Order: sequence, then C-alpha cells, then structure tokens
Amino acid sequence: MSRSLTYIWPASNTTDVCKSQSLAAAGNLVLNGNLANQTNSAVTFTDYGYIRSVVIRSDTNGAFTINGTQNGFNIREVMNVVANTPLQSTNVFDTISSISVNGAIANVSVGSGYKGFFKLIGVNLERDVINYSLSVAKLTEDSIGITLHQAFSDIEGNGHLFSDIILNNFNVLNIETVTEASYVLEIPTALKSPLCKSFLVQIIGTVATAANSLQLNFIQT
Amino acid sequence: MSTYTKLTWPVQDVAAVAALQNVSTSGPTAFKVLLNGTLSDSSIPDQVSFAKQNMIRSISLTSVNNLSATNFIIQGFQNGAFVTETFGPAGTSPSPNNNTVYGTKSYDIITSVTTTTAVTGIKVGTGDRGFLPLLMINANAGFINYSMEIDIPTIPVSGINYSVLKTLAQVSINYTTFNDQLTKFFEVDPLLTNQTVSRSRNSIEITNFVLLKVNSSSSPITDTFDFTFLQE
Repeated sequence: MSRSLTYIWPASNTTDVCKSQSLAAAGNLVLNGNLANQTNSAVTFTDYGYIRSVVIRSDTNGAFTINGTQNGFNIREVMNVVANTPLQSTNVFDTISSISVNGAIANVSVGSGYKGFFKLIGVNLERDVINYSLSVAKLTEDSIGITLHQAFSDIEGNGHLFSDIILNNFNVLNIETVTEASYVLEIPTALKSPLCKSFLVQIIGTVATAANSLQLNFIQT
Repeated sequence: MSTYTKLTWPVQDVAAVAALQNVSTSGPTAFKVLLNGTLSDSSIPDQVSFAKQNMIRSISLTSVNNLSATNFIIQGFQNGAFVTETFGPAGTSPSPNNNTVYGTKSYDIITSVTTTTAVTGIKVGTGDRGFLPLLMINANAGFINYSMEIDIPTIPVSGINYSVLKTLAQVSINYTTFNDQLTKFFEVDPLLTNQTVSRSRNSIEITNFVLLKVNSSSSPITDTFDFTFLQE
C-alpha cells in the first residue's frame, strides 16, 4: 500500500495566532487567531502541516514573552516590539501555548511568520522495495527559498530544535538549497542512496515572500 | 498486473464544435453558436466534449468573412474548473478575418459559444494545443517501472511540440485547470520536454500522475501523434 502526504505552506497571515486585541495592563493575550484551538488555549502549527515563526505587531511598544514547543523542546522567547513595526520571532514553533506582555498594549495582533519547516517526512523503511519521491512546488507566482535536509537518525521528538539539529549537523545532511524566486524541485534518483530515516524541508522565507505559498508532496510505494 | 494505454492526438477538425453557420440577433438562438459540430452528441445537447475523445484541447474559430469586430465568448470546463475565453476586440485573441484563429485555454467540455453581433459563416473546432488525459501511476505496484513512447509521423513534417510531465500532487478533478497548476508538474525526462520528434523513455521514479502537454502545433490540420504508456 503506497503512502501519500501533502502539506501546504500558506501565505503569512497577520491574525493566525491572535486577532487584534488590547490589554489595559500586563497579562496574557487571548490565543483567538485563525489557527487557535476551540478553547483558545493554544495554536498548533503542526496540525496544519508546518512549523513556523510568528510575527507580532502592535500600536504601542511592548515586551512579549512567547511560550511554546518545537520537536519536544520547550521554547521561551522574549520579543521587544516597537510600535507599528512588525517583528518576527527568532524561533519557530510546533505549538504556541501562551503569549504575555509586560504592560498595557494597544491593538496587538500575532500572525504566522515567514520562515519555518514543513512537518518532518518519515520514510517507511519496513518495505521490500524502498522507492519514494518528494516535490516542493510553488502555488503562487513567486516562490520561497527552501533547503532540503535528510536525516539518518531518528530526530522526531528528540528534544532538539530542528534549527539546532541542522546547525550542529546532528546526522542531518543538507541535500539541496534552492533560492530562486521561482522553481520546482525534485529529489534526483541518485540522492535516494543511502536510504534515510526522514526528510526535513526548511523554508527560508522573508517579509518579501510573506504572500507566497508552497505545496509539498511525498509518495512512497 | 501491467497497464497499457495508447492515446492519439487527432488532427485538427475546424468544425468539431460547431458546423458552418450564421448567428442571428433575434429568436431563441439569438447570439448563440449552435454546438452541432462533428463531436456533438445528440443525447447530450448543448455541449461538446473533448474529454470523450481522450483530449483536453484549445479551440479554433474559422471564417472566410471578416468577423474581427465581433466578440466570441467561449465557456466550458476543464478539470472541474469553469473556463471562459473571449475572442475579438474585448478578448486576448482576435476573431477570424478570412482565416482560422486559435485560443489559448484548454477545455474538457465546451458548454457555450456566444457572440456580441450577428455573424455570417462561422465554424468552431479543435485548436492547436492542450493535453492528453491524465494518466495515474499505480503506486501500489511493488516496483515502479513505466515506459512512455511518443510516435510522430514523419510525413507530412510535423509541427508538434510536446512535453511529458509528472506530479506527486493530487491534481485530478481538483477544480483547478491543468494550465493553472503547472507549477505542480515536473519534467519526466529532459528528452521528453519541449520535444518535436518521436521519443521513447523509461522511468522508475514514483509519481502520482503523468500528463502529456501539447505546447504548440504549427500545422494543426495535419499534426498528430500517438502516446503509448506501459507500466509494469
């Protein structure tokens, strides 16, 4: 039985995490954005097939603390936001569990960011014949740069951020980086050897690519 | 269980959609071109299906008269998506003026052709580009192995330019035309991309669909070829 996975990286949206809201004093923002769960207690990007940074914008200055997780690692990031100047987080998140601010804030919204990863693609090695293909295609006129990595050990949920795994080369091989504004990508046959445990597609977006969208497809026999 | 498919890109039929006719501005058929061409089916009125003939194709308009001041509005569907195209002063392609003109969009089904004026002597037929039907790869085969052959006659000299594409995406009846989702398609082989001669190639790359695209045809009235697909 073959496997088929499709993930979409949608354009950034300024209210994916928190819709516009104001606080009279320090406190937590309500996670009521487009991607929030039904109890407004979390935003889980991986439910939508990606791992992503966030962008905060507000009418007044504020120091925000974002709590979340990525690959089993707890992240706490402080972002000092200047009024009317969108600021992207350094980290990317699987899940955001809370966002607090250190004082009164006016018209703050939190959206999905420009960079991140598609969900980790695991290869099923329990097959008589291993055969798979992966493609990343742009869905908009312009594209977003990506880097394709393959992992030879089990990196899913191992408590290390994907960004650290890549930075420190923990059994992860950079296969290919594509930075053109318009491209299609496919794993050449030669790169299927040696077999790997998983593929990780890193999205190297910027504010200039915020409106662009990608689709990842993976098929294994 | 192997899969064998043979498809043919037929030569152009300039009256495939609508036979030679005049269009009036009054009565029940005012401003309507009757879809009574050679591919029309009396059991399914008011439409002409290219898909039933195993092709997804652009259209042509032919007239010995000067109809350049008239707009022709074509409507139909491709891959579940509504498609419309205008020939003439308000469109992207000119209307015929003692010649045959070609559209740029491809259709599974034509559902209407209307005009903005009375018209004398118009025919609507198949065009000079398009696709053969989407072919699905059997991904459950234990070993992926498929061959593709394009056979182009050498006499008369062919003007066909084609590419064989593949995609891992689910593109069948997803309400987006093939032309509007070409970024999801990849070349199968460099020797099957923008080709003008017969080719035979093999692939062991797993994919979801294979699609043959006719990029252009400089002599559509005689251009034809066969596409044979065989999966182990």
